[in-house]
Amino acid sequence: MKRHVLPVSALRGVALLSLFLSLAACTARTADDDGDGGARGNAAGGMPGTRPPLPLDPYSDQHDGLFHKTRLADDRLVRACMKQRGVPWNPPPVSRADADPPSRRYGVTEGADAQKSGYHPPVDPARERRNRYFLHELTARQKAALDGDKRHPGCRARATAAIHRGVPKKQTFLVFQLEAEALKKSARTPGVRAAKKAWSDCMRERGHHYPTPEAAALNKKWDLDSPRISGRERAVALADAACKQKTSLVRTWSRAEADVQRQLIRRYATELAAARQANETRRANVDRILTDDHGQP
Amino acid sequence: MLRDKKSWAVMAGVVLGVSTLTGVGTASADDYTCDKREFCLWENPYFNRGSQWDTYGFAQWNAREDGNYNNNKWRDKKVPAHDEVDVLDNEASSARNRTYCGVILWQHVGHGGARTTLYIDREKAFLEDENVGDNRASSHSFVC
Repeated sequence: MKRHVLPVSALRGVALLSLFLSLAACTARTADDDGDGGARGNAAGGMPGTRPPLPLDPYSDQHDGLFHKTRLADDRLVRACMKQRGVPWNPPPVSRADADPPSRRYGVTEGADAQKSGYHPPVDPARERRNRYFLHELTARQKAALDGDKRHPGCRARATAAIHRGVPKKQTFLVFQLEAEALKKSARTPGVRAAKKAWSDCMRERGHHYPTPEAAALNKKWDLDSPRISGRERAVALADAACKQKTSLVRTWSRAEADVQRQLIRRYATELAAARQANETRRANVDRILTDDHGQP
Repeated sequence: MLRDKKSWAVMAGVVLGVSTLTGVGTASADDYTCDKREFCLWENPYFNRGSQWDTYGFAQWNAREDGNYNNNKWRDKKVPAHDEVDVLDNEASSARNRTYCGVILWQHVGHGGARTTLYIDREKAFLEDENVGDNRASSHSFVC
């Protein structure tokens, strides 16, 4: 990273912060009051590292199933279009796991995930099958139908246009930037630093010497470009997840992050309102597409 | 934000239909534009538009996910590949997706931290706001 600019202006919000602490507690504690540190998998599929809810979630394009619904709508439109054009089209279905996608927001947090994937990105076989179809197996005829030409828009462009009707083509990464900033800034709070120290002590007791979870994940011995996961990588990841749970690191961190997010929401209220409106416009489009009888917008 | 340094345009070319998984690829034309079926990242916001450096540098992959941008370098057509030194990690400032798939950008290597979706045929630019930073992406994955 070349540089990180300290959010100096955030200090202006400190005086107002206390007004929102009670709201922060309400939101941040919703998911992890059962004491598992928010590090449990979801009920649907046991995907790794589902995290506690955070204040910026409603502004995210993953909120309330929008991400998954968008993919289902896109799939429906493209299938209908390809059928209309007489082009064979039989991609594997959209992965159900994407309805509640895995998140390693705080790194590896579950033993099952650590054992299976180490620090490598989790692999969802259903998603991999569908990706392979699109990325490596399309025929020239299928590509031509997806692409279209200047006079006849392709199935790809038609589906995209229907889903994003009314949504500005150029968007910002605002929500992503704010979430990233909150995660980074909250990591520097005294509470999280203390929890990370406890995590490091826990790791040391297990024979692993890392100052922070980030240092463990970024060990250059883990070759993330290779599918091979070493036994050592798995062992460290397992200890990492166990120590996060033992030290309640995720719970502490998510609460601190929620506080920072609330400050950012106040500061970027206008921009976030636009992002939320874009999501709602897309959601309306997607709902219409998914309830249409013919798969056409 | 535009930096007081050379800007680098990066075309993370995702050339669909190519089945190799061998890292940096060569299948796309090195024209420094974000062509059909490519996923593109730029180091500066707004796709380097208005920058005197708007034609410089690119990197491309064949169709594959990338779990660690630390292993990739921004490309500059005036600099031989082996002389490149600037690493992609945490340096992307704008992006465009022209593939058949959605692209998820991740804050951290290994698909961790915050995430955002770049829908098909959409483009996004980071806010030029020093309070939130604009260099965030460290890995990407596809959702087709």
